[in-house]
Amino acid sequence: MDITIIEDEVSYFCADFFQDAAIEAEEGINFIEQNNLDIPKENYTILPKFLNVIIQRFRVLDSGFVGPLLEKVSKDMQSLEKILIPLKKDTANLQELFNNEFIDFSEVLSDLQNDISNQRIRTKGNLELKKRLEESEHRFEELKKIYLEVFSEMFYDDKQYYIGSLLSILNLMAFFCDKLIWEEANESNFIKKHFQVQKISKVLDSKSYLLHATSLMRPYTSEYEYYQACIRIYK
Amino acid sequence: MHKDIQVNIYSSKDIEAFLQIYEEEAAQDEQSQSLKKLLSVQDKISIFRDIDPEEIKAIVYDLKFVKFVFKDYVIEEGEKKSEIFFIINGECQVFHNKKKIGKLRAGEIFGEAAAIFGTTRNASVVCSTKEATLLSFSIDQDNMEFCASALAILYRNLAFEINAKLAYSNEQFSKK
Repeated sequence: MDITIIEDEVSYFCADFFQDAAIEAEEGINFIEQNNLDIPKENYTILPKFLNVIIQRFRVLDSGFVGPLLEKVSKDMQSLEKILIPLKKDTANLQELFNNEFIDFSEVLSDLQNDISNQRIRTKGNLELKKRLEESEHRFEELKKIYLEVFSEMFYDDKQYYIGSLLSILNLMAFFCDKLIWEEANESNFIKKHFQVQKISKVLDSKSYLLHATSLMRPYTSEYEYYQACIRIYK
Repeated sequence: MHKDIQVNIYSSKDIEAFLQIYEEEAAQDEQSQSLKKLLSVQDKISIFRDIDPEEIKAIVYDLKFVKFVFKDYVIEEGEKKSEIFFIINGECQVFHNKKKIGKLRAGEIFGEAAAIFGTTRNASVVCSTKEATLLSFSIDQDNMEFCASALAILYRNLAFEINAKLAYSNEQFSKK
């Protein structure tokens, strides 16, 4: 079978599968490039959950907290997470994706699969048809192997590219969100007072807050481990 | 097709704010490097004696290492600036009314009185060696509410420092 037919089918599938991610990634990357924004070297992509908690807590302390820019950045950060979490989950198992979605999508494979199903119905008791069915099944399995090889390679490349691009945008947004939160917190007398009264820290930043929060937590819980992972970003 | 992230909603003012974050981050990196160096010599800086390093972080700002060459003015008499200087290496001479009144060596601190009391500089300090490296910093006195204990120790240390300088001046004066 001509390999370009297989590649075309996989390519159409990938374009369809990553349609939403591709638009978001392209727009985000263009935005970063056009404005000469640097993606941080540190990995801030695990921070959104913590940053959202902080925003909610500070909102309770100061109703004026969250200015327009922080609001936009935080919404974008949450939206990116909403795209990334299912995308990572849906693309985690290529073999499963191939069996569950790609075979139905591929005209060649689905036609052959339907043909085999029909043959199975007609075969009962007929040895010649049974032999033909076995040949078809064998051909189908062979073809599936070739398809899977091409699919794994092409799909993996696209997956890496789109998830990588979206993670870069998320990393940047989480970085900005982190900086904007503390910039605003340092201007809020309510929040500063809270830090003072609760003896959290004299310096208002994520690391100090995380260190204080973990000192009050029961160690080795998932939340404790998560906060510890966040602390490591700040060296 | 729904759209989730909306990067086009950022105005040019927002982009400026983003770029400002990078600048602040770079300055902070420099600050944290300088702060590390400051904390490594904390015990040699008399006014920081007995202060918790974490509290020093909270009260000190605008930390930088500055290089001066021979005859460079570090401080000019009469100017109103708030930096405090610590000599890492090299030497400086102190002038009052254009008359040499003293010498400052590595490990010594100066500029603290005008910085803390908000007065003008009462003497000029000039680099007297080929090169001198100084650590310059300011004290955030508005942070009294949050760092009261650290600032109290700082003022006590400062009182000792000024007392020692006065004692030295008196000694020199009585010799004449």
